[in-house]
Amino acid sequence: MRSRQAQVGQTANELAAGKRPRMSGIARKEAIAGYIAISPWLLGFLIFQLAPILAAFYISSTEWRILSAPEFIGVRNFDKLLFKDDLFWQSIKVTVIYVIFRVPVSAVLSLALALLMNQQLAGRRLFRTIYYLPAVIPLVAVSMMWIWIFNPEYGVLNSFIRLFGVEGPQWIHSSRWALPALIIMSLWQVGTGMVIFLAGLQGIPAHLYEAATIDGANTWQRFLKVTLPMLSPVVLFALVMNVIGSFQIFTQAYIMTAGGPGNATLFLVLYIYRNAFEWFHMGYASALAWVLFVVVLVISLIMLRSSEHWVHYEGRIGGA
Amino acid sequence: MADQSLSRRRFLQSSALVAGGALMAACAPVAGDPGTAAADEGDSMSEEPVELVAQYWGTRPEFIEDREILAQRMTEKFPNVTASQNSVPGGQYGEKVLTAIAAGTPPDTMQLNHRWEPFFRGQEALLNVIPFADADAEFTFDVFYPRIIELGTTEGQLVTVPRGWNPFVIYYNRALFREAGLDDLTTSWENDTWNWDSFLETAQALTADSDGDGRTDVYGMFFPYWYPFLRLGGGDVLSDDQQSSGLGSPEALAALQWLADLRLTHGVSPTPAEIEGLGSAQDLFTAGRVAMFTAGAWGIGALTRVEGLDWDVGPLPRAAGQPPVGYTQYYGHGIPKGTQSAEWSWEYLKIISDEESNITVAQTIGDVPAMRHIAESEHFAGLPKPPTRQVFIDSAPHMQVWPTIAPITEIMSRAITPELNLAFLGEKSVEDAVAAAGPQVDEILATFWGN
Repeated sequence: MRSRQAQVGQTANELAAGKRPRMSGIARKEAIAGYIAISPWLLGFLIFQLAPILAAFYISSTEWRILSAPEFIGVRNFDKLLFKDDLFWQSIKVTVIYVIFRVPVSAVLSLALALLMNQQLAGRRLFRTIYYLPAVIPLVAVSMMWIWIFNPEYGVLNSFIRLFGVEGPQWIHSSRWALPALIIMSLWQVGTGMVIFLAGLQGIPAHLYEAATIDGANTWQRFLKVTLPMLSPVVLFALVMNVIGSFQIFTQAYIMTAGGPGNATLFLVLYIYRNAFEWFHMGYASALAWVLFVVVLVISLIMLRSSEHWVHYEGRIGGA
Repeated sequence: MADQSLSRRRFLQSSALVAGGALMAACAPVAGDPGTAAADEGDSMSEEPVELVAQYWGTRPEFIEDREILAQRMTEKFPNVTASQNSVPGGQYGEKVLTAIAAGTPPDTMQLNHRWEPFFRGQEALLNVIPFADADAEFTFDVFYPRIIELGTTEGQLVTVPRGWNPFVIYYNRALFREAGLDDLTTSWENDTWNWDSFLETAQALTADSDGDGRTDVYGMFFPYWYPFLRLGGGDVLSDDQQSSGLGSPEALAALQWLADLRLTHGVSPTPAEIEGLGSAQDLFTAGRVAMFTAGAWGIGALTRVEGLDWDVGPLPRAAGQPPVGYTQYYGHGIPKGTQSAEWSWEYLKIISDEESNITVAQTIGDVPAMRHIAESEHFAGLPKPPTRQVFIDSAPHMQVWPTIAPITEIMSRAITPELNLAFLGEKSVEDAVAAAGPQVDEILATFWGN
């Protein structure tokens, strides 16, 4: 049996040589226990996510109407969607506009709410609950409610606007206003972001604020120099999740507008759904799904790469 | 003792194997060979226990009860057969049936209509029922409306045994007609004084701002469906040879413009926002907010249950220079290829479509039965409400259906409806909407025909 010292020495040599150190018995047992612990998720991921994703990649190179075997057509689906399908570009345009407006506005609102809810206000627990409540109500129910809110004739929104002597827009019944309507509706659910930011805010040590105050920093400076940098990892997380979620918008458009009027709210996921389950072009729908995957992946990677310049990790050696 | 620990490499290898297996399963060829001929399907009938499943859409209680009875009747006739229904919400129908067929477990019979028959026929997923009928002394197509059989037959093949049909008519509120000093509508489809001009005049006479607040309280008419009017006007969505869009024809453009004007120029029809705020066409009608609306025979059941509502039906108005058009949607049942036993499916199909079942269609469901003698009997025509049920039946000689080409649903929902909705909202001219829809229709057709 080798001595413990010899093992350590060997590991150090392996590290120096750039080799992976051999696992000790305890470490191996711990690794196995770890794998067993995560196996339900891991298997679920492999079988129900990774396998369908890979299958979809194969299907995207086929013409498949479900009842007959998939016919391999190479890159024709991608050629069609990139160069011949106006509805694909319409869905990209609609989705990108939604993301561009929704993500920053909801991030700012979530942060503002979180800052407010982080104050020592009377009844703040009640307010936290109230602001978070919309996030836990099923989206179908929320959509049905907003259909009524947006009704141009009888809805509460236009009734309110009418108080000022102005006739409100047709909202979801207008190709110009349907997309803004869905963006406005999405802001109703800023409670999710608020909770994440609130958790982040409460993790900022009070002594940093105290030190800043002693140094003469005012409220704005403390926010800019202490709160934002300390909160930046949370901001990154919230932004990435929000971007991914926004690209995947579906339910509201499916229920409230059916993609209309005139394809004004034909989001990419809705277009994928209609290709797959209304017109049964599974190959084309898979190609669209892969485009969405790549777009979201690239944007997420850009955000993660850019984070080196603006995200501050406390205690990271040599980091920003 | 053998080493029970799992190396990382082994673990990853195993995981990859699982993922690969799942992938292969997902990519495996679909079961159920659609190329099998009708006569070759399944084993010959025996006394062995058989379990049959009939696939339906719609989950209303009266539907479920009707289907339970059909299943019980099958078991009564064939004690070795356990029959059941699989009823899913309408929106999930295609998905569910396709998944079942692809998994190699198709239902034994399936419901079909103007939407699903072309699609599944186009997929070659249905058996031709004519050979079964020819070989069966108990069965004849002669009892059905011949026009339904004629319209459903493509290239000598018929995949649906019809059960009911829904001719579109004008439902009208007699009380509102009397308030406006109007006579009851004609009951004749041939009467050319009931035309688009007199229809508009009637709708205008019925449209009213009762409380004088500047908002319309009663609309003369509401058209939830634009397609019947397109056909009435002599147009169609496809050209005669089905190779291109037909919306650009003078007849189609005029019909669509006339429809758009009903709402946008004449104000006799509510906007989508008003409809959304007030409910469905039937709700609006029941509440006295709409005096006329178009629908199939399915309107009868619900309206009959509304106490104190004085209503009746009339034919669709004729367009100038055009013959009467009795636009209808028929439905029935077919046999998916790959069913466990086509012979048993045929037996089940016969019960679903038989005389007793047609009586249920007339009396419980409220549609017009596909069997002519049942439709014209006391079971449908003889029922008291509405008094002029004959209008439904008299549409039969003028019966028309929407195109039976396989990609018709995609043509409608992808290419045409989004554009026409903009025209009916007044955001686009009818010409621009048709010009935008046309190339999309042509492209779908070109792909379909392989051009």
